[in-house]
Amino acid sequence: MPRHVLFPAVELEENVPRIVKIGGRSIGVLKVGEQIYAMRNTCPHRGAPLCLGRVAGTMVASRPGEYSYDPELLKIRCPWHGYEFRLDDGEPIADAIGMRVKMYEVAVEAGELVLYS
Amino acid sequence: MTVIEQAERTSPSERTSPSKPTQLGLIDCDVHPYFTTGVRELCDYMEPAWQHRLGLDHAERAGNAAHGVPAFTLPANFLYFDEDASFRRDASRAGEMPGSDPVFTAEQLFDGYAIDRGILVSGNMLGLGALVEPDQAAVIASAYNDWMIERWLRVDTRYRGALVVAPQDPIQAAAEIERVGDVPGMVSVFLPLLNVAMGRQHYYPIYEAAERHGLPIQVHPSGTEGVFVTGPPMVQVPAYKIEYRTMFPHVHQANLISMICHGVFERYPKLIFIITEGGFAWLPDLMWRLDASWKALREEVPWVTKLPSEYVRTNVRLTTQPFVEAPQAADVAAICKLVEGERTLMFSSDYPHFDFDDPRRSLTALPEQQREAVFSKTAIEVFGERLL
Repeated sequence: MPRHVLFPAVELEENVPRIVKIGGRSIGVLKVGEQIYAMRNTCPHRGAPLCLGRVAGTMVASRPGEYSYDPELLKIRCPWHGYEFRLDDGEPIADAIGMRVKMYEVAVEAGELVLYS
Repeated sequence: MTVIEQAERTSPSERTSPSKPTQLGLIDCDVHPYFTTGVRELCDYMEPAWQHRLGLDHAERAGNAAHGVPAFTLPANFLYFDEDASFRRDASRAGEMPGSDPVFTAEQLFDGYAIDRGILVSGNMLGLGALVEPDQAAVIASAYNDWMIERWLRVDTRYRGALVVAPQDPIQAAAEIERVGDVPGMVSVFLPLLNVAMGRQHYYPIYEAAERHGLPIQVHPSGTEGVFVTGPPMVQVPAYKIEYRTMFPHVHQANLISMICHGVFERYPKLIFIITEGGFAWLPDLMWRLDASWKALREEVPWVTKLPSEYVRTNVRLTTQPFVEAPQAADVAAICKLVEGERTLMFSSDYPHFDFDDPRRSLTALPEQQREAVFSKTAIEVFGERLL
């Protein structure tokens, strides 16, 4: 798996995505709480810059008339058409969306943020 | 793509543009400019008495926030909460109102997507038809038109304007078409929707003036449907935005049927009616149903002298956004064929709204033989030399 050293980990501010280019691909690195995520910065639907989307918990499927909010199930919501994808694995919140976002393994090694593609 | 040579401008010094397009390959029929800070920006284009009447003339009246009382606002339905407020989140610099900076908009939209012309349909005026006081609506429409001319049309040569009229008083609306209809850059009349069906006599002075000036009538969802008594009714009051947005076509279907059956296109045969953001996949069924009904009930409306669908072909155009998203591309192509897209459809992006259509990504299923017409040729036929 190719290893890419990105930038010092301390530079990554919480909730402020950093966009990097790797092999011509735009990839967003995002820190939420203590967790760092890396994903393709291109929505699989219509190509919007996905990492400009809002990160929040999720309204999970529920019975009619009831709202069930899961603040732990983090998702990013596309800044254009509102499609939602899980931050942990890039899968769509609703299966019927039928498309997923490519996620990348990311780690802090010797103070540097490292991405494996 | 259609190639037509750029005509010399009569007043090039008034306008600046980073590049002078020499051909029109892509025309966007639905771009929404917004106020930067709010309706008070219209004060510069309004008599002091009207500024005072609307409470826009000094800060404490315009804000009044200390008492929780909102300032004067234009009708718009804020009942359906959406966390991103219906805008593309990248359509402005941080902290600014999306679609409020004509330079940023030109760079992001025109440069970003190789769009040669964009028609400005005011985002703030969409619900003007639901204002209850006709004179107030007419004053605001005039002020907006002057605002758009000065702050947008003069900034970049690729902008074109849909002049707004207030539909409440058709005489004042016709006068506004006289006043600004031939200002360079104006290409259509944007008619905010009202709770009066569009085939009714109420509108005839507006249609007459628009036809005489060679300006199409452009309509758009208003943000007032179903919840403002004076806005256009829906067949039921939607509780959720998902219902509301999906029901947009109903209003346009009702108005199109009304216009054809009342003989609007017999009275004003050169008038072009543009349905903006109303969908289009429904059109074949409407044409077939109306034709079948006409064959049985023609005697009731004898002024409809030909098959109703013929008026659609000659006088009605529809914009593409939000483009059909069917699971199979072949089904999208089939719908475009049934709609006769090479004749009826014109590209639109709806920038800066959240359901923006990227011309390179959203219309891939459009049949190849319709692309040139949809992206530019039909708009050039409809708007004519005003686009050049």
